[in-house]
Amino acid sequence: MKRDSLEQLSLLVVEDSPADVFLVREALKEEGLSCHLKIADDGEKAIHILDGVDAGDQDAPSLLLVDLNVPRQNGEHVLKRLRRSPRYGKTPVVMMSTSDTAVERKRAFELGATEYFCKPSTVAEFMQLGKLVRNLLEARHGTAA
Amino acid sequence: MTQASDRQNPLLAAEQHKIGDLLSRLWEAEETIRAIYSGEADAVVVNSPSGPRVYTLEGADHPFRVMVEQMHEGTVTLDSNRLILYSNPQFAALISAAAESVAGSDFDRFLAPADASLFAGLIEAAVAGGHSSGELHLCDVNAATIPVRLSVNLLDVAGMQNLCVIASDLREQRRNEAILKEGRLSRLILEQAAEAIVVIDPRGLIVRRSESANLLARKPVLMELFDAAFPLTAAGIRLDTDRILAAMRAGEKITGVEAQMARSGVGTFALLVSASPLSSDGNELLGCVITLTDITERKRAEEALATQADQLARSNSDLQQFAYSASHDLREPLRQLAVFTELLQTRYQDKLAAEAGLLIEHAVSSAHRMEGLIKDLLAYTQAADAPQGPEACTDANEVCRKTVATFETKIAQSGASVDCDPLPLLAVHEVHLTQLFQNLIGNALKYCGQEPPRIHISAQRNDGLWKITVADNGIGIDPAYKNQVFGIFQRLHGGGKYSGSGIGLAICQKIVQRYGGRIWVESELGRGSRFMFTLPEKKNETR
Amino acid sequence: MSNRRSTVRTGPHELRLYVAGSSPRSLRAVQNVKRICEAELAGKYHLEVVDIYQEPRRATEDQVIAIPTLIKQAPGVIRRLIGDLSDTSVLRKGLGLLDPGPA
Repeated sequence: MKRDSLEQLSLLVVEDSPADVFLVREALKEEGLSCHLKIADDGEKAIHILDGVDAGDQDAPSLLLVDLNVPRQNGEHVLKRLRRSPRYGKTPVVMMSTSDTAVERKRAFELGATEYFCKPSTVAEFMQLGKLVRNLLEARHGTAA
Repeated sequence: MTQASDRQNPLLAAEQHKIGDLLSRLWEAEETIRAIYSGEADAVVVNSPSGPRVYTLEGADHPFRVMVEQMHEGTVTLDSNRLILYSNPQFAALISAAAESVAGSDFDRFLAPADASLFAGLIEAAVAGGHSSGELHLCDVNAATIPVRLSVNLLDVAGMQNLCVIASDLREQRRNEAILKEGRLSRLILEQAAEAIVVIDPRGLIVRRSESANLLARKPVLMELFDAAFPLTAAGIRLDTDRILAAMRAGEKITGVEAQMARSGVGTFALLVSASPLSSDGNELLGCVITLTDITERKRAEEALATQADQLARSNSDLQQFAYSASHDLREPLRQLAVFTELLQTRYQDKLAAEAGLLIEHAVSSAHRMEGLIKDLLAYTQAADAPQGPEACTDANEVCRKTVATFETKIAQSGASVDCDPLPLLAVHEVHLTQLFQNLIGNALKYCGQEPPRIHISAQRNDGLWKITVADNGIGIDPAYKNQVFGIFQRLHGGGKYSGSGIGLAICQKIVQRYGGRIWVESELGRGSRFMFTLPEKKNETR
Repeated sequence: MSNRRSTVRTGPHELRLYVAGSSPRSLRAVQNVKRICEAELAGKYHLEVVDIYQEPRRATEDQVIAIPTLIKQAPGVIRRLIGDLSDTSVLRKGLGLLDPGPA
């Protein structure tokens, strides 16, 4: 596993709760991933970033972590917007949510989520997020030269 | 004079004839004067500018004459040979004869032959006692029989022994009696009717009414115009007697038409209106019977019920929404609280005093518990919601099997055994039955004693309902708290000995109640428990 | 003493008696007329009894002044008799009924 190459990657985190952003960082750190994190604290800002990426003004993120319940445009809209991108539409997305109902899971996958992560209330479970992200990144970039 | 001379003198003959004529007329004129002079005439007829005038020379009997001529009954004066000497116009009419042909006829001509002896008897009695009366039949000029009541009176007048017979047409009387009886009965019925009933004539005037009609109109309505007493509107258009009578004439029925009647100061009445025509034998419209049923109260109750149902539905949906969003929003910070407190603990463990660790542990477990409570509360509000899809019908055997399968690990760990008797088809949604079994079997496994749990599920049919029993050999329940266990968040064991927030049985109760069933428990401490619930069976609709 | 043979005309007697309601004379008049007619003209007469209180116009049409009055309209010459007609011979004569021949 090329750990170092993974460190060059940047991730887009769409999350409005600073506490959860902290936890995401901790989870990634625990897993040894020190990728660059771009934070959008509402969906509108996130979509704005994606527009910039498609326009060539910004670097494309290698993975998105999207909370379903962000203000303005919610997580679903962000996901849909991403999937419309002609060049970066296939970027892996982890949908995050507090609830874990089958209905919501199904919907997220229908809209194109790559993974669904229910935000747990124990530290240990939250740290699983790190492993999840690593697996996705490696699946995408690991094989690339 | 010889014949020859007669023939020879025609002029003379003619003159002789004329003289003879004149002599006759003279004699007659003299007779007239003589009769009047000598008092042999009763009356004199004189032509006046205003027509013929009768001067009665003996006037004392004028009022009586008028009475006889105007009375309703027929009357005749008979002599001792039953010759009709006088008949009033009504008697002539009774027997359908021309007035001038009655006097001078024999009375027997107008008597039904079968009643001849009866009449003879009446005459005898009258001659003997001055008066008699009886019922018999007359015979008119067309040979039709007429039932009459005869009153026979001896009339000694001016030296003649005559009989005065008065005849009352019984046909009319009988008809009147029948009408009267019928009328009385109908009137009683009408008056006592609980409904407001009125009879209107073709002019729209109320000619009959029940007491209730007066009450409805809040005033006496007899001989009032229906439209004034009961101003009605149906479907926004005035429902007046013109419309009603027109409908009757057109052969249309008016049954149970909803109408409104405005009453000043009291508000609007809601009424059901029905109308039936009253026709004569010749199909002429004589009037109309109208019934007004007051449904104001009923309508008010219906509206109140509908409003209540609406409010209830709205309130329910509000509650659901509230519960859902509350649980979502409340859980978010709790989750974070739990995680951060934990982080605090793990990262600064060595930097904190031992007690601090304990404090943090309590904080963390409280947060977890709070989260669990909210989750369960949400589950409770959503429990027993009817899912979309086909109507409720579940094979309890299937559900039991599936549920037991989910506890596979726990069962294996504790060495438990679960026995399922054959279970029926229930008119319950699968989701609900699953929840029931999950909670009850889960409890049975959880609250076990020293021995490995032995669970037995059975069913018993009783009057369209099935009673399912989940029996275990666990720790049992103190009978004093038998009912408490079904409360929301009610737990009989503190201190975290057994997991769970205590909502399971409350959810079971809510589900069972939704289907009109009951749930209860029989138990003894240390001797296990039997949880029983009733649900409706699935009836076979085919055949 | 010529024996005049009487020619009894064919055709029924048409009689009209004007009365004043049920006054005594009127009643007697009816009785008397009826008796004679039944005795001597049975089946050969029509009798009308007109009450002048009911139909006074008919009286003036027939030019009847005093009541009762009997009018013989047929057969033969029109004859009038006034009063209650209790004088049988006058009545018979008026009706055109001849005296029976001397024995």
